[in-house]
Amino acid sequence: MPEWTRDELVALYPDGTVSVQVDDEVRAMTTAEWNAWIDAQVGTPNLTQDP
Amino acid sequence: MTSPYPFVAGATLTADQLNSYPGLIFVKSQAVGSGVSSVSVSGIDGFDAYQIVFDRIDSSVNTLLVVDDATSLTGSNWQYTTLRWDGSATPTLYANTSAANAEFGLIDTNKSAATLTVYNLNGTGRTRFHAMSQFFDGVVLSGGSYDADTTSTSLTFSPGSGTFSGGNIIVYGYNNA
Repeated sequence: MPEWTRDELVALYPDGTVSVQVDDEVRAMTTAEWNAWIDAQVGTPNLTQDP
Repeated sequence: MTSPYPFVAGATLTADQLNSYPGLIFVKSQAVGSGVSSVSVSGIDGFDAYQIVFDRIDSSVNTLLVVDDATSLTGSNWQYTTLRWDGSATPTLYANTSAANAEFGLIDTNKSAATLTVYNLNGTGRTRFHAMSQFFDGVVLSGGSYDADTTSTSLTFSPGSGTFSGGNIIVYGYNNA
């Protein structure tokens, strides 16, 4: 199964475009949070087609 | 507590009877924002169990649906098993006995649906769950637990990859009769 790469993720979700939501409050991730989030996403399954 | 059923015209329902009503009671509905990596839902409190409905959830990519609670249900204490079947291929079985979260379903990019039943979230002892979700032409069934004596009143939901881009998370509670 293909996996997400860092380059693919950064292209899809540039810094400043990802938020965190708690109830009705939505705030943008800091750059440090975004970097950690991107790192955590690397290697997750890329389910681009019907399994 | 004796059930007031069958209801009789003119009879008075008591607060105790209503508070112990064993049917679903609406707790809250949380609209999901766009471009959000996770949605934490608080105020999940006061019931023996919860039915959580994911209504018309959109995500940026096809992905796993994940639950945890970064506030209380921390550490690698989640245990779960997922059975995934797309209707044409051999079903896939996946299990994890020490995870930081539980991958309980799969969602795609167009109005996905899932239900998650959570037991004993507010009480000591294990919190348990089972779930069903629909993904493309398939179904994902899952069950698991948070294996620690920890209570919580919130849950955090996130895509395994990418971000949510809309939908609603609706929480109902019920008490065992």
